[in-house]
Amino acid sequence: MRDVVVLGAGLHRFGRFPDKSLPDLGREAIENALDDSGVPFKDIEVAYVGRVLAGMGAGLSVVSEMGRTGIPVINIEMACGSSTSAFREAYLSVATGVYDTALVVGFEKMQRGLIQIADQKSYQTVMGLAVMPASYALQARRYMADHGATAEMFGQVSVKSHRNGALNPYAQYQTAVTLDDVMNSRSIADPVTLLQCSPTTDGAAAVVICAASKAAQYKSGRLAHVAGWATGSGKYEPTGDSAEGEADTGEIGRLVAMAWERAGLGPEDVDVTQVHDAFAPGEIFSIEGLGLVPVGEGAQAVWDGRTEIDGDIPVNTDGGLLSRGHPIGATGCAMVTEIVRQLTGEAGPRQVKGGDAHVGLIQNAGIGGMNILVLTS
Amino acid sequence: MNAAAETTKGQSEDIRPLSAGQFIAAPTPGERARLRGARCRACGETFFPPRRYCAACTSGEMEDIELPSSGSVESFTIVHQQLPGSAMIPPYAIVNVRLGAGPVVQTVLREGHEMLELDDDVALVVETVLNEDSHSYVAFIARRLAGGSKEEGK
Repeated sequence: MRDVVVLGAGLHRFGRFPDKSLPDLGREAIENALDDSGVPFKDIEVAYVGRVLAGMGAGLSVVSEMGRTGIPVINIEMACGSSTSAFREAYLSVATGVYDTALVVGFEKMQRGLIQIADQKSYQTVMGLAVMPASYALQARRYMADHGATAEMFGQVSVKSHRNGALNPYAQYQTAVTLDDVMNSRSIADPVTLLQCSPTTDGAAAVVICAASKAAQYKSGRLAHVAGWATGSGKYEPTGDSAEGEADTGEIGRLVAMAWERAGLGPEDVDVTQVHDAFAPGEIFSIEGLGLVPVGEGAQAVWDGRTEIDGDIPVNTDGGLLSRGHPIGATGCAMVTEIVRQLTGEAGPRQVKGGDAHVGLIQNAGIGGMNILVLTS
Repeated sequence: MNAAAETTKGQSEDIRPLSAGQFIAAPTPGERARLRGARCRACGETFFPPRRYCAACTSGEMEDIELPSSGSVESFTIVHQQLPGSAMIPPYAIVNVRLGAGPVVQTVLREGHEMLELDDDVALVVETVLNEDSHSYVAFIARRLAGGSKEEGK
């Protein structure tokens, strides 16, 4: 497999843009990523597109805004993990030598309110079970009992995310909130309150990748390399295999081990992390699953400020899903964008470790699976 | 789907399970739920709802089993926001119920959710959840077992 670098990344700001079309959103993100990369669109050989709610062939309608060069445009869907799946496919196509340059795009336009994860007439919907925050809330309540965590510790995730979002001009929410604000916002699925839920969002993100051997013609200086990856779809774990009440981190743990093996690195090497915090408890479950803290200690780690920008395990430095926003098809590429900024020392006020960050970890989950990526510089 | 909000006992002509195949015998409102599960003959893992191939070992040698009609609350959450299309009116609890050594099943608990605690024992009973087009749709829901909770022991 060839060494592959991320040459450029860019976003259309996340937020609510009722007057903009998907091509409007996507074009701006692609322009920003191409500008950042130095690669002209005519040199892009393939495009992989992560998107969920748009209709048939939506990828082409966005990518062709930049020109109709006849390249393959491949639409990929894995719910909230769609554009890290697109990134993974693009990476494999370049690493295996099929293409030298590839564009990855993620975009979404969403309705307000609870996201509809099951058909309106389905059993899950009629019974009131298809409530997305409930799955996090169920896990959170068990976690609190098993590990002595408090509801405020989950709330603190959102406080940190909003503080980081206030430093990110591309974030949907750019205003800090207090722990009281979070805890006093209305309950959605106890203990998850409104401010512990990621918003529905319009937005787009794009990334340009290239064979490392071809990178010099476009860009010089510090570049982010793709060092490791893993993808899976939720392996069934027999009932007897985990102790009762044990935090369910099996799938993340299984996949991140594969990614570390490919990268030749481990959790002790990580400088900065992006995790899937669709709801605030997610950050805590994810940092445990990724091995950044022991199982049962994630909530305390958040409470102690360890996941802040200046903490020892900075997480979601751009505001995460909670504050940056969660346009489901675009989220994965936005995660890659933030890690690239951090690893190239271009994260500005959000920069971790004084710019001396060299290993970035990404965990992006969706209904249907999970992607882990390891980038290095 | 306005009728979705109507969960009162209607004068419906017939009773239908909201989800076909969940019950091992015709469900009767008010009675214990006799749930149909599946057990893998190869590795012994049990599932609900039943499936044709084992999720653990991929064997196709599955047999129907009747699951226990009570279990303990592994976790729960109180839902405060109306899900569009749902017959459940907030607040209500979503509960994960562990059926002994068998599978964990998920359902709702409508009455007494404010007294619910982790590891409480609950019964799974048949209730009408939806009246629509002159049919009563029934499903299994969780109900706190009298005498099984901490409050009632006080």
